[in-house]
Amino acid sequence: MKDNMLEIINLCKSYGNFELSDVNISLPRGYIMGFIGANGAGKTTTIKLIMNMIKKDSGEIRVFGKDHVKYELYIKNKVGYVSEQPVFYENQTVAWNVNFAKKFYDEWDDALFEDLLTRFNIDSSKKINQLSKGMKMKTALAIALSHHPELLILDEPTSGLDPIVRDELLGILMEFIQDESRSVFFSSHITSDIEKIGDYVTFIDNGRIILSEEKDKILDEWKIVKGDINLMNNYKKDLIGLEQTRTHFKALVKDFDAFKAKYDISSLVIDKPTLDDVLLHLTKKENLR
Amino acid sequence: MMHLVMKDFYVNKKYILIAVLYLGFALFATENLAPSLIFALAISYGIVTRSCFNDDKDRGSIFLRTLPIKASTIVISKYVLGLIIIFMNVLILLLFSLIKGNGLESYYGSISMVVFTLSLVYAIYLPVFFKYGYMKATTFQTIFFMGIMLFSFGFGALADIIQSISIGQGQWIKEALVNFIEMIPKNSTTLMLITCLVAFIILAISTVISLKFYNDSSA
Repeated sequence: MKDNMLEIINLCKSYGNFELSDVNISLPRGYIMGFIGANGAGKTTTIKLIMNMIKKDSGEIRVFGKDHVKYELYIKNKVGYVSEQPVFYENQTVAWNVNFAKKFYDEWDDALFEDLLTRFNIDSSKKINQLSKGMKMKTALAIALSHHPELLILDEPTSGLDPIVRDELLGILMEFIQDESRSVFFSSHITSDIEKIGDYVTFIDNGRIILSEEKDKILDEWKIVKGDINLMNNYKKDLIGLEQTRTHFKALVKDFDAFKAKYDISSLVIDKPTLDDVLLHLTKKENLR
Repeated sequence: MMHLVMKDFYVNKKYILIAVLYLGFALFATENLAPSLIFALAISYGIVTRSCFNDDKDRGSIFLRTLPIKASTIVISKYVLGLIIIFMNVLILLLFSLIKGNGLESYYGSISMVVFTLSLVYAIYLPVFFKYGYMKATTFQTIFFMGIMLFSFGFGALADIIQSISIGQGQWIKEALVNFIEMIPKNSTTLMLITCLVAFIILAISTVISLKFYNDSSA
């Protein structure tokens, strides 16, 4: 049996017009899961529910196999959380914020924090409101890493960062899981980041999980097929997220080996999909019930 | 818990310094206690609301929710802050009595007033803050106290009405008022203790309401 760091079962939450329904996610120890969805799809709500920052309507959330409400303090001691807009006391210095936060953690490591500050080139005497977005993100990450978390939960950490900082941040996440005892749950609408470092991918659209799978399996087994519009009806039943022009069609195929065995594909153009392609085709209206 | 309270004192450090300087001056330079008392009450209200403002303004309240802190600790810490400020006010009054050489008993009325007023202010403000945030809580509190002030202007008119009630007509109102006034202890120590007890009961009820609101709210 897999040792799941995070397990979400039939999670539901409604907010006015928005509804998160029957969310199911499992993240095994030692892996990075990318949580992909458009803005407003329900990524932040799901993460806030995991962190018990909002109350769920129904369902179960287990972190390290423990209920996230009953064992909230235990879990928060072992989870490093970074939000899209890192939150601190903005009018205070980095050092003040850290001195305040570290008192609540059982395993805070001052030496590790100092190392991370040096590595990230953060001046701890600066006020938080004097830092750039990238520096704030690095400060939040340094705090999140300095209490030796087993699970990192990151909500859109790369959004709005320049490519160099983004790349640096992804490198840190890769390092974090090197010993295979820790995991990362990482939401983003930038699929290329998840393509770089994710082991598992979960797609959410309009409050529903539309796919949760190993990334390599998706990229190996799923294909983009393109062909003449006149041939489209031959394949239509097995095409996902069909796009049509006057002359051609383009769609996603889920199990390409089975598709290949079933149809003559000699007149089709086959491409390897990106996660962006998969997201775009899966979220086309005709696929959603 | 104490880390949170200390944080609230820290973010108010300039405010507290000004208050201490003023009260230090007032302690030696003036005989009249009333202006200092009003100033102390205003500062005491300000310290708690500023700590709430700091939590709300920069999303510090969200920062707290990401840390391993129980929701009850976050809520109760604000009440502990309030209680410490009430205690500091009482200490200042005791210091006044010592320095001015007046008997301690002559300050019991002021102590009762300070404890009751601040408890009531915190008891009303904090649940609204935990439910709706700083801006709405402050607006609500301002409207609430303006309402009380307007209402208090009506007391004079009420007394006149009661005076004008002829015997037999509405006699029961007079009797009820007289009975109520007679129930109030004449001994200033007992009066002070009862006032403090009522104030702390109000704060305890307010804490329970705040906990419910905080648990139901979203970050």
